[in-house]
Amino acid sequence: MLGNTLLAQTKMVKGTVKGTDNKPISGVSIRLESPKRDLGKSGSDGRFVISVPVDGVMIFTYQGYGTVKTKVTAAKSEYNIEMDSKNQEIDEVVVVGYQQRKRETLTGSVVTISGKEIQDIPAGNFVDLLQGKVAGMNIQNNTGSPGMRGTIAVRGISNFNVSGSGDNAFLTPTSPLFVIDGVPIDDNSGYEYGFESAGPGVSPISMIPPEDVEDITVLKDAQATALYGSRGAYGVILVRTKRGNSKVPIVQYQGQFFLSSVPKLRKVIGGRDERMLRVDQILRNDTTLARAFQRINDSPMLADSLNPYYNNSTDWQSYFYRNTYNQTHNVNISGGERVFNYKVNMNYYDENGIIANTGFKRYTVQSNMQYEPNDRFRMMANVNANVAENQMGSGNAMMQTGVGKSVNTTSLYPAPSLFSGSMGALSALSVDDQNKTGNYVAQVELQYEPIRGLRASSTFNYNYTTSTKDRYTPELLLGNSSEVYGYYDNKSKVYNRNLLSWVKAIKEKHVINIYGFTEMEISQSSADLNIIRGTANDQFQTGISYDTRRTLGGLLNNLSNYRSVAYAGNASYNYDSKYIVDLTYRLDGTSVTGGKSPWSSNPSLGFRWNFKKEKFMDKFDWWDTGFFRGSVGRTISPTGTLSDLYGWYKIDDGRYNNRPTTSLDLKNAPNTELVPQTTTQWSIGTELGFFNSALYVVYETYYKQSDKILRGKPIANHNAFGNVLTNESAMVNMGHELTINFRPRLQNREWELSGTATFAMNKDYMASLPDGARQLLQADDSGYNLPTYYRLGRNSQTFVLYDYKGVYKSDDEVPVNPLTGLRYRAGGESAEGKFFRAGDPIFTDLNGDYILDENDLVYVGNSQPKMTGGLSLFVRHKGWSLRTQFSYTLDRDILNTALADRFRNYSTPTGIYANPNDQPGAYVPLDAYNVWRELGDNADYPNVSDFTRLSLYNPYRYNSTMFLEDGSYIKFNSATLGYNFDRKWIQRFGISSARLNFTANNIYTFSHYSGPDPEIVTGVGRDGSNGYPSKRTYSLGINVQF
Amino acid sequence: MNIKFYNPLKQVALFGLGLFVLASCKNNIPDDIDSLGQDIVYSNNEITPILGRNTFYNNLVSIGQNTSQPLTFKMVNIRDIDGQPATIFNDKLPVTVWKESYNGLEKSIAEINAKRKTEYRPILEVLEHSGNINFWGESANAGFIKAQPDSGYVFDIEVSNTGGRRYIRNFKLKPFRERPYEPSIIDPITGLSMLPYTWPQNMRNMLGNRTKKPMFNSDVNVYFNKLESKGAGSSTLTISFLDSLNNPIDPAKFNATNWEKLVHGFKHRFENKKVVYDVAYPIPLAPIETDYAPNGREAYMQFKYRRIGNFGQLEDCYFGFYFAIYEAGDWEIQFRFPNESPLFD
Repeated sequence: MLGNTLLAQTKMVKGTVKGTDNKPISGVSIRLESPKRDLGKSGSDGRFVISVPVDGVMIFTYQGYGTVKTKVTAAKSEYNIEMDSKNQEIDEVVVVGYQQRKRETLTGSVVTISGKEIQDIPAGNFVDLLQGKVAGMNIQNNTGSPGMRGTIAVRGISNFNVSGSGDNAFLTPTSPLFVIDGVPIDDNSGYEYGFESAGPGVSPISMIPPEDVEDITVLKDAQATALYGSRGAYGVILVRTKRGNSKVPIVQYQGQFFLSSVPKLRKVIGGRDERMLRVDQILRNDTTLARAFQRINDSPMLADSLNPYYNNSTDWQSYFYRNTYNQTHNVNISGGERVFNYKVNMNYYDENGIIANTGFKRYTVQSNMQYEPNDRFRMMANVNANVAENQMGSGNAMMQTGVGKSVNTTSLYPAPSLFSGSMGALSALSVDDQNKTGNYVAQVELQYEPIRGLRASSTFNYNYTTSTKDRYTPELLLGNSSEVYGYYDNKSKVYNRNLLSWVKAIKEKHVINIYGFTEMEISQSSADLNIIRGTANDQFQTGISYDTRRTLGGLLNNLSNYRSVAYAGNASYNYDSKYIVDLTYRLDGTSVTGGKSPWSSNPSLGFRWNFKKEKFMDKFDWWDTGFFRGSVGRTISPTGTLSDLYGWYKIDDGRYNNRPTTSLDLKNAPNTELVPQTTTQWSIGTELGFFNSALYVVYETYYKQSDKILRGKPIANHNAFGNVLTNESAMVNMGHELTINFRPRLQNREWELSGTATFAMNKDYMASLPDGARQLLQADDSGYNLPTYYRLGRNSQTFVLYDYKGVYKSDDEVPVNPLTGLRYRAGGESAEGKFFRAGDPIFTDLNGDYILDENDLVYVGNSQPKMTGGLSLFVRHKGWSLRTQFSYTLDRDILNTALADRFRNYSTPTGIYANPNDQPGAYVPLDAYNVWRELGDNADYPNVSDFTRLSLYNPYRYNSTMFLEDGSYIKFNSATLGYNFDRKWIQRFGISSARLNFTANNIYTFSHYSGPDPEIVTGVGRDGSNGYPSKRTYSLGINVQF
Repeated sequence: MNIKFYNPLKQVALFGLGLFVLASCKNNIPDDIDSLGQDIVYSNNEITPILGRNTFYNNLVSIGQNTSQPLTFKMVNIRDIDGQPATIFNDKLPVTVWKESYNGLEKSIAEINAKRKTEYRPILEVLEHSGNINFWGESANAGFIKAQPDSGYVFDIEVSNTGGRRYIRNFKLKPFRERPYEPSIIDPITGLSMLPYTWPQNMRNMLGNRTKKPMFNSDVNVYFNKLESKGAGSSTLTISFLDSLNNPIDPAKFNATNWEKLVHGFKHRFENKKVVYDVAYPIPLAPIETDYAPNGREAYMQFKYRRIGNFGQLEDCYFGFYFAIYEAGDWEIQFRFPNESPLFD
């Protein structure tokens, strides 16, 4: 195959390739410059022995290191090569727009993170580990649920719509598109929160073991994402898994043992103290003493204190939260060189959640092989099979409502057991919930270069995901009627891309690169759900039941069938790597685009000026890189479904011939004019490198406009339909990003130091609302009364709250209506208890009518952070290394509804509720809060104890600025202490390299926030009581390579 | 320094600055100003207060989801029905306003008056931020305000916030003539009364003295008489009972009556078989539940005596009267028994 005529004078040369740290580098590719020919690779000890023509030039290349060229002379036969590792590689090659490009010629915004940076931290989902690493990619790990990921937003949120209500209000996710080894995977649908979907909610992204990640590339601006067109509108994350790259097969084992520990839990008043506090509260605050005695005597919980059922001091939290020991193992077998290489990666990950009865297990096999007999033909194949298993107890992937409620139970009640009646708690602990997700991927890519410069490639991918959920709730826990819950879904996707590219260099200086491709996707998904109520007994966990009224089954209405076809092209002109212009055009057709034509066209333009390459810059020898780049372009993201376009038939309650009838679903009127959401982005950046890349600064600023956002609007009721979906909304994100890399060259080679600091500022604005409205207040019909507020020109996520100004010290301070002589009061029907008095909260009466009602709400705050970023530091001394990661989120507001819940527990000291499902809540000590207790107190929080009036004037309403807090935080994400064993010593045991590491993750969060964790909040900035807390993990890892 | 170094460098810097300025354009972003939607709705466009008393219209405005609060409301262009400007509404008349809250526990007239003061206000006001309408009719009378059956006045309300302004047009003000007390026997439009009296609202266990038959509330006629003033600032309420011959009945016969808490008045005294209180007007003073006004809107008096019933048990016998008086002065409420007096023993 290497059919080139060898020159007569060849000679054998040998040598070693070492890094600047004097460590041998294995797998360095050695090529001959002219004629182009593969010479081989360095061995595991960095040594090489190759045959080279005399006067030929050897080119040594290795990922992450600078290229070294050495001329072979007749006189010398031993060459010791030293390769410089580089921080920001200018010569490096990245795949952007499905095409390899030199970094030097990129016009878009591209950031690459090496997989090494994340491999020492055990994680169910590697995305969580990227927090703070990329400027402009805001990751909030807002759930600790094993295997689930938090929210990601590249350059701000791209959709402002909020679904759900109250504590469960969630922002429509706009996660970036993931492209795994060249194949796009949309992580937004079905997996976004897990709570919306009926199934396990495990995303294919959770199936990728961090150990198998070679590198992760984040594309932020329009030019970089342009060719990903459909669904590239929210940014693109490219993930490359490892490849074989060694003549001698490498077997690598990585194992980690980790302890997940429960974060600080809240203090609770227990036992007798709680009872006496409740009694005291009644005695002090009831209308009369006689009434107070009666109330106490009527409440068995307080009066019957010797009854074993009430004579307890149960620490409910201890039943649900636990520390767990977990493990993950990964074996990677790889080998081969350029002509043929292969990799097989096997991963096992087992994590038990810190909430009882939750956990995540992953078994994966990822393999790929590549065959490249010569420069002109290449074939790559991937086969992955992944299985995940998770338990969610009585909650879902995001929320643990059952646990949240049970933990908030009075300590006077007995511990959970079948005989004590605490069924909510018991079901959280003992419901048999099994979820399985399988993901199977097969992919083949062929490349062929028939004529020099003209290259054709074709990629075919099939991705199949199936998941099941089986949950059995015994009859004792569910009102004497057991429940079998069976869920099954499947998604499949066929993806094909055919690409033709042409490169032509004219006179060495002008390089023209033109390529075009077609892309096609067919995907479908459907889900079935069966609920059987009332099986014969708890041993029969399937099958037969006679409770047909409550037994349900059938296809869920989230089934989808989606097609898309795209034609895209790119033309790029490069003059001497100095001036580069990129033009791309992409024509996208999707099956969910309405209107006359399914096509939308998405052009983009990028330029780059490497001014450092200009002659006048030659004099600054300390300045090595300098360029400006800018881009403008449009990308789309299909939103909506086929049923939004054409309507939906449903089975209704009507009967015809004693059969169910079918009718149009009248919720949303069909709108055949729906189009995809588009993102138009302007971006300008500059990158400057100094002192041989010891200091490298990247600055970017952008303007991102998200138009045609899908949103429903109510229509007049004579239309039969309730709502219509339209593309009338828009929002804008603007911001600045700054990345500073530093990697000083230290004289002492035993030391190495490097770090990256990222800063990103983002501001979002509402730009358009349906019907040309300037403002929209979307009501919240839950008891939380937290509407969503949109106003043009303002940030998209604003709180609508009563303005809290402190506490009335005395009755005289309450303003009096001069018209009526009445004091300021709470809204609704007038009642004696509604007039404010000493100890009550001062809420601003905005409209001056001396009645506190919805006309007094103010629009305040922003739940989206204004500034995010992080700092990573790496220090190495000989074999020891320390890697730390910090991240921060500044200037964002959180509504601490969890704190409101604590105060609200004081509303019913008797523990007797009208609704039998309500249980008396836990009493939380209020010492930490300056709560009003007696006349004249200058307090921060109003009286909690006046229980006979609390429901009338509602001082602890969720929607008040009393609970609006600064949610800024700085988080010490992780620290890894690693030790590399000396190679020579370790080789005696037949091991080529070994490494030990100790890692702590989620170490500490610095914050003024009064809640437990400013990160465990929903996308709209509400800290509910039911979130899944973040674990802190300590892990011991071992990495052995044979 | 070498100048040649600088110029190109400067150009690069300028180029970068230029790009930055280009990127900082905010033209496409709308201004963050208030929104003023079409969804500001007054539930009532025609207000019909009664002269001689203050009427406050609350919760008149409903504001929808497209309008930002706070709003500023202003009354403009008040005119009579044929479009002539009505200048009377520019004048300010004395009205009584509260400084502190009235709670029904005040111990003297002075204490009540210390909580009030006199201010001068225009007759018709729109509250600046709530849009509620106040009709300060305390000092207004049909002498200078056109009362029904006249078509009254028309006015517009200007609503504004930083997002702009809108006018809600053609509100009608059609006041009724004075009715100094309630329950009123005066026809609201003509100002005349068909009967000179009204009736108490409830009665229980009372028997007629002559027939020994049960009495009904229609057996009592209630007369409101404004007495000639006993001098400036005199403000009393007198209660008297007359039999069918218009001879006074001694109030002491209603022996179980709680005279102390009958009305929110002070220094109650029995003069000439009448009960006299020093009171503050209007009665009730404020729309709040007190011992004297159980529902807040009207004062309540109950006259009660006890006697041994037909079956030997002690019975509470009483009648009760809900009322309101808006005009200050010396008032007498007469309860006449035109058919027969109650059986007290």
